[in-house]
Amino acid sequence: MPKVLLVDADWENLVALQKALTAAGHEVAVALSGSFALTMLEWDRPDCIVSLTENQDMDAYELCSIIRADPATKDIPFLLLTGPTGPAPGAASRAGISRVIAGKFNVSTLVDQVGELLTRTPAPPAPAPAREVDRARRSIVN
Amino acid sequence: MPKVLVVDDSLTVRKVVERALEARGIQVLCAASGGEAIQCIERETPDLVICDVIMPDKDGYEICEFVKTHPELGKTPVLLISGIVNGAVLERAAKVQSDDVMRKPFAAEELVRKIDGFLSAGGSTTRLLPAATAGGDRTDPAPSLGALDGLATRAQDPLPDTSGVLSAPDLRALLGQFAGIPGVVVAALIDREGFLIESAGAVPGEAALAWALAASVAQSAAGIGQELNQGVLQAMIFESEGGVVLLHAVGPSAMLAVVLNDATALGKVRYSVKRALPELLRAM
Repeated sequence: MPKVLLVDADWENLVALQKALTAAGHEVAVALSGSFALTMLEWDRPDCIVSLTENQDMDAYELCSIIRADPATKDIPFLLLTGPTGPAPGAASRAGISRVIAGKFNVSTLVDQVGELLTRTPAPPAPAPAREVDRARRSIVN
Repeated sequence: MPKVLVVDDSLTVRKVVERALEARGIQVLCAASGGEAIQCIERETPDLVICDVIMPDKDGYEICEFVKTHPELGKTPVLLISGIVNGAVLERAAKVQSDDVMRKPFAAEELVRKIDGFLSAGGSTTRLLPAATAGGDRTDPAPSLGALDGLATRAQDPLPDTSGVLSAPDLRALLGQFAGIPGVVVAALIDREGFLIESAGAVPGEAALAWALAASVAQSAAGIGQELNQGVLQAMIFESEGGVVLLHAVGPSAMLAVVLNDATALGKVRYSVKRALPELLRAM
């Protein structure tokens, strides 16, 4: 099941979007802040990230830039949800944002866009952890 | 300017820490491996070390032990960060005299609060306590009647700015992890008197559900609820018309209730609750 990470400072939005994407067959993880989202990626790698422009501690452009700078996360598709005016010219491409939905949208648009991103850009294979790391993880879990 | 070393093999995590602490005027040094960290610690003598537990070469426990047994650096605080915080991790962390363990993922706000506490203490003054007692001295103000008004909870009440204690937004984020699991309707933390401490996942129209849950837990506290966490019963699962409810003790004074509309998610929820319990306990 494709996994989507939703980032939004507004809890009510987050719940509504989560319900829509879950109903479309996605497994959905949520984060209220950019920092929480970024520290999730190491253990719970999504196939696609959907973020509003403004989050609790960093905007979506910075969030995406950090994701693109890390070889382990750089290929994750990133969908930005903005206000009606959309991003400033060049801002989205500079940050490495894959797609933008500007202004009001309906649920089916979001679901379609996420679906397209997942199809068009194959989810990056999770990097095989070094054997030592794998062993260490197992020893902690067990 | 205080100097903090962050050790993590994830570039993304290092960036999060770097960004959060530099905004506070803290100099941040980074190491991507245990070997790099040892060199950096000896060369730079940082005021504090933040270290991932699992790394490819030396693990966080080894780094911590190196710092704590160093003749000159032994008082340097070490904060371990780990994707899993369970009894085994806390035990090992205590053994190497780690000052605290923070769970990944985390919000920058939580990290900054912990670091501020360490740096203002001017050195290592505390040691990791068993999870059940760490941070157990929080004194919440008594809940007002307003706390029962739907989702208006203690989140709006002033909380003491105590280092190492989760703030209300952190608690909400923590509960949000459960609410984010497909099949979960709402996750709520409720005290023994039935006051809703915090909830996540309920949209406004469903606020009444959280309220009703709080009230029913208060009623059950007079009966079977009192047995929770008394060495007899730590958790219970029951079914209602609205779905399945998992009730889990969070220390002696609170209960976590997770309402599901899809019982197949129960296994994942139980696993997530067990993982998050140490953090929830600190919040209490």
